[in-house]
Amino acid sequence: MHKNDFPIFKNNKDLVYLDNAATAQKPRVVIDAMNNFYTHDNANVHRGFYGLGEKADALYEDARKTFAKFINAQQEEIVFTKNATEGLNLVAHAWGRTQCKEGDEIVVSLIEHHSNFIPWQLLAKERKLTLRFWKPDRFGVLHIKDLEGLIISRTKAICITYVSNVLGYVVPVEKIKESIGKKNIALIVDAAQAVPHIPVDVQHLQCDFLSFSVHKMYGPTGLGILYIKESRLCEMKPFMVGGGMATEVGLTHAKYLPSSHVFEAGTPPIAEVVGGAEAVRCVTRIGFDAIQKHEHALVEEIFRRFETYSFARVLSPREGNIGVVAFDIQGVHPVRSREGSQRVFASNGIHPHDAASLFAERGVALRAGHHCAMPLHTFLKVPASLRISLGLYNDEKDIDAFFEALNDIKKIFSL
Amino acid sequence: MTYQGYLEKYKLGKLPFEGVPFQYTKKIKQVSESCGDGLMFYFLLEDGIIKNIGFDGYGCFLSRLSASLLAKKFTGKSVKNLIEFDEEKTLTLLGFPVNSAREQCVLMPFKAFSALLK
Repeated sequence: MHKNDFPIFKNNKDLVYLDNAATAQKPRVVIDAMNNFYTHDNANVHRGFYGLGEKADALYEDARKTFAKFINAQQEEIVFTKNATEGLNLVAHAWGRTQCKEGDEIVVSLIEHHSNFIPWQLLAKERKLTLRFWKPDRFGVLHIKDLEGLIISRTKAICITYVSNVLGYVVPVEKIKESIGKKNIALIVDAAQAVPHIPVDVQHLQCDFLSFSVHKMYGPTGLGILYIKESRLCEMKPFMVGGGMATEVGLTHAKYLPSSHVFEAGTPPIAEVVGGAEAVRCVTRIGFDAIQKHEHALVEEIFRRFETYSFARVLSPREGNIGVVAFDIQGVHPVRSREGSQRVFASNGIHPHDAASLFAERGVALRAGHHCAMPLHTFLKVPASLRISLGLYNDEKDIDAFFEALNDIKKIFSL
Repeated sequence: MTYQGYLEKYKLGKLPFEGVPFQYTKKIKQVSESCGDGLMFYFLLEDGIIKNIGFDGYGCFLSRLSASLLAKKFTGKSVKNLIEFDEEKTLTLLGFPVNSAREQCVLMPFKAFSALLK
């Protein structure tokens, strides 16, 4: 796919969009699929006995199949949510509050996005659980060996991101099950940053829950996917209650659907589901081999060119990077720390917000701040960072524009 | 002066009023709700007059510039002068437009100043 397939680039001729980890742009076919739904097929789902209702039902449930196949799950294991955050909160509420008791433990890594961190922090406080933190090495990289000592008999869950939203590397989630062994520990995966870049297979990962947002993989906003392993469904209680999830409602009691549909109370985002399925078909048509090859070449180019900028400190690891590069801009050259090995810098660098504004003035859209990963930034002793994140439509011209803007910043600050 | 003009003038150096003054009677910490950055403000107050102001901490250039301009404006003035001052005037004091996403950066120091009235 090319930028020509994405109308936003026709309407914003000089846009250099390098903030794909925040949200990706939408291809024409996704926009058309949603438009087509509203103009030809719109009706509510699971309610209408008329033609349009049946059509909407079919599109909605076909989309569920499409998403199930996309991550190698069963159709009944797919729940449509609002976004990855809602999916993870759903697990914390519907599963966590049912299964975790005082004294139990939850392992969460320090590289998590807040959406896979705060729900567990809150649950731990409410239920008097102990949170165990899986710490990365000093560069922010997690190692399986550091997880093993954290798993005890009272560990109930391991909550982990598949790809770091700041550092852009893939966590070896598929190896976690080996550490768990036969213990009944739920593996809860945040795959929000993985789905646009690498194939996600829940059987390979052997996870119990997996959540992602569709808007980061070229689909519409307002739609998330939550995978719930079939065997975990009976361990959960409803999250939100209301229409479409009850089988019987009396004056003082209600009975609920015994399937994952119990987590889709109220009218779901139907047009978004239809558009989201089209996004899956787009990505599948191109294939992850082609996406990875393209993005890998670009990210290698970024790392290579960064080497010549001594004032820019790249925080992301180069090896295995899927196209997310965090960095900051320092005012002085690196010096050796007392430990001798880690590079440290004087603190009077350029604040990422100021740098991002200067990039924006030059047409380059990138992200600045803590990227909703404050525990990681605190651990790395970096208050905030800048982040480039690639999508399948980015090209060498975007990389040139980024480095031209960086050269301008160099001039302004006489770096 | 423009945003870039200020950046080129001060580069990575300290801005006027940036630093802890020798004497102060009141210390106010202000944290940005949007990004978590925080500046500490130091005021030397005598008989309702702001005799001296200083600030330090971790903040972007816009928040530090806003702090510096506010400090310049209110040094030697009565605290009562802050009653008539508001967010809009703080944005005007900056002298150049900022996009809505960064208004919070500019307004963060104003909150510390307006806390003097409490």
